[in-house]
Amino acid sequence: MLRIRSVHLCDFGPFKGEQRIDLPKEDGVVIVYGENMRGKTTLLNAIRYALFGRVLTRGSVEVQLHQLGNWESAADGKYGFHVVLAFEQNGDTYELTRECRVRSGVSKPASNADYIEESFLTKNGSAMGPQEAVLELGRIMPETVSRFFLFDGELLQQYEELLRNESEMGRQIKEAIERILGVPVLTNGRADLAQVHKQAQHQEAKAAQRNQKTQQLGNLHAELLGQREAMQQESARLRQDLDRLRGTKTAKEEQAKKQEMLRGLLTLRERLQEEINSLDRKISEKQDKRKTLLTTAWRSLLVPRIKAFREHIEEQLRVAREETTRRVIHAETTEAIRKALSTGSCSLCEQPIAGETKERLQNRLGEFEGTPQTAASDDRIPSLERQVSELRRYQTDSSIAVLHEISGAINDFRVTKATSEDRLRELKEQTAGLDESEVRRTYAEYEKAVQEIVIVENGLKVHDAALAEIDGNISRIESELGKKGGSDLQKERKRREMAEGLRSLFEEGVKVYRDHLRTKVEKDATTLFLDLTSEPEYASLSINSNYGLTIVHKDGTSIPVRSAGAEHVVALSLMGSLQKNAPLRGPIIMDSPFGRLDSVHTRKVIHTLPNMAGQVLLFVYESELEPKLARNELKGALRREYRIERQSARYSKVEKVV
Amino acid sequence: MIDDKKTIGLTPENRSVMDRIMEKEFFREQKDAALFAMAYAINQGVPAGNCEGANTIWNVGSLDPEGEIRSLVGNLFPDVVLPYRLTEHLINAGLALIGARMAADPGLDLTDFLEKEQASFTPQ
Amino acid sequence: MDLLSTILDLRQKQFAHLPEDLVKDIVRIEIDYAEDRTEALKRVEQALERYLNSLPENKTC
Repeated sequence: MLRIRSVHLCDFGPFKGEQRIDLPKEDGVVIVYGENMRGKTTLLNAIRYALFGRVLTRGSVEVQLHQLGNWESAADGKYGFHVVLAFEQNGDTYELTRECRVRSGVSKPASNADYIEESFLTKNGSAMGPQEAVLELGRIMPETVSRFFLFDGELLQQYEELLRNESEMGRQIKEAIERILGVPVLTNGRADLAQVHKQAQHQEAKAAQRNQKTQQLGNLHAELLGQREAMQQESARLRQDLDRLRGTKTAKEEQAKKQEMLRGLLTLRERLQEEINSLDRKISEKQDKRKTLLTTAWRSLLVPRIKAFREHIEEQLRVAREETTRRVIHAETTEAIRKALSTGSCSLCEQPIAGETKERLQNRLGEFEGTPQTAASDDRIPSLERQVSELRRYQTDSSIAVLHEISGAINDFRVTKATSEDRLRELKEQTAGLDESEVRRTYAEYEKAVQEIVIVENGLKVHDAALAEIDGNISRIESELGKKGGSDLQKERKRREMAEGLRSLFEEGVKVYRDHLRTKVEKDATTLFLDLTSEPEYASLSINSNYGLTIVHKDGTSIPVRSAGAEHVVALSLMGSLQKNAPLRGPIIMDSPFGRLDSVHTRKVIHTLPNMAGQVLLFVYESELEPKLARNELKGALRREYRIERQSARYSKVEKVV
Repeated sequence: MIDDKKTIGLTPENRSVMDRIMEKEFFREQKDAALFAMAYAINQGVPAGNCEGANTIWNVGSLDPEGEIRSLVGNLFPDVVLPYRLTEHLINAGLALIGARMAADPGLDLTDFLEKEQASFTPQ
Repeated sequence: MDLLSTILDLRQKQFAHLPEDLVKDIVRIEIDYAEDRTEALKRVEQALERYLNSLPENKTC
């Protein structure tokens, strides 16, 4: 297990001159108190810098080296800094020095380029070579797993990523967890043994080719191995493509989520524009219909007047016809009487007319001839008839109801259109400064990635099927070689079989170990969590394939969303569980670990800390963790206290308290 | 004897009215609007008269290819001997009346004329 | 159960024909050379070769 013995700083951050924190040999907790901006995070960063040569600030942003030196010293013309970390592991003692000094010839450094950085590692008092040192440090504390030892209370959200199956950060953290738990030992073993097996197969093929009895089989074996090699490379390439495309798809999905609002606005904008275009078309159709009807509508305007006028003419015509009829009858009757008087007999019955009848007829003739007749109106009749006929032609079907309906529809469409146009105008203003092409590009790239994923997945299926067939053929040939081959092939065959067996063992081992680990991590994290939480209805933590932990209620349902405080507690449970289960063990160093916790949870975490790791180093401020509370809860487990005291705005000093 | 008009036109003011009517997209052609105005004038009881200052727009052959207008105007105004001259007068009078109504009500819907005018007509 | 125990247990149950010492050697190599893959592969090959050479049928006088 890795145990830190001391941290020695010189002109690092606010820590001017030589300053030191010594940690006890025994298991326990060391607390460093300091107010905000006094250098607590800098101390965590000093350890990070010593181990990895990097310093992170808020949001995991790397700080430039030339900004790390003490400002007061710099004002005095003294530039550069160094950190010495003394630690031990498995009985070996180490001293790691990392320093940053000004290049000769530079009097006032302004950037990283003005500095030289060097590091030295001694093991049991002897200096190690640079390559050796890098390998040794990588073995003791790989940077990829450092987040589980150097805990920054500001970086909790990364643990939430474990709950999302396809997030890139989640994948990285999962790899880091499996690394700390030792899974790469087995996955690397599997890969190495697969390589050894492949080489053994090639060697067997070559040996077979050298013997006449097995030459043909050997040739075939070699050829199939070559084909398989090519196909495996192609598979690997396809899988890389698939990973890349999946990464692109995930990235575009995340981008699209951020752009969701804008995309929504753009979609609405397009829809409104389509609506407006459709309304324009409808208005245009209705207007066209209306124009057609209005071509003859003027007639409708005149129909009543024409009808009345026609009726008036028809009356005149009737009167004219009556007069004509009367005149004709008058003339015929007068003529008939004259004829009867002149012939002395009735033209109808041919009876003689005499005496009284003759006298009566003469009187009647006198009356007729004396009655004035109206002027002949016969010549008016044709003209009147022609007028009536012409006026009748103006009887048209009234299209007024239809016209009114069309106008109503046009008005309704116009109102709807005006509303849509207003809304569209607002949207255009809202989206004016935004990059629409970016949204469209994201969506297009997402779609493209989805399509390409399908193609590659299908390609892989075909490929894998072909590979399985080749593997089958190779196995059959190897079986034949086993039967036909002599003692010269024996060793090669044994090598191949051994390598294959070992590879299968490690393959199976990965699955078994992973399942076993998840079960253990879940169990240990649950134990820790139940100690840390004050909520009685929480029953356990449930682990997913990424080692993400979900809180489970006692009724069996999962708690999907958590507060920052709950996230804090879950993250600490995971860290403690990993410490318990990892082959790689080390101290837990925490900066502001209680920031989001209430006093109840703070007390519970303090109480549990000694169980989480052998060596615990806390950087806190007093209102976050009262010294009295810490002493009461930790008792003998509290080994040492330090305090960072302000000397000036740019100078802090670490003082031992206990 | 004076010959009847061979062309029919609009005064400059009525030309503007015509343009405003056409903007409303009610009529396909100006002559449709002209006949509508003429009918409106007749309905409003505009008496026979003459129009001065009209600039030629249509040839009577294009406005009245079948002689229907001539016959109609001749029938409704039997005392008039120059029906196309009267037609020109009625068209311009009708446009002036419509123009006045549009000025008072810019959102005027010409189809409302049809209902209203029909409703308000009383045979003599 | 730690990593080595898991693998050895699995060997015993399902891969008993594989030599335990060789499996232990390979696990040790992978732990020690986790950061140096080239070296790890070389040493795994060597471990297997040593085992094969130790077999009676492959011993040469």
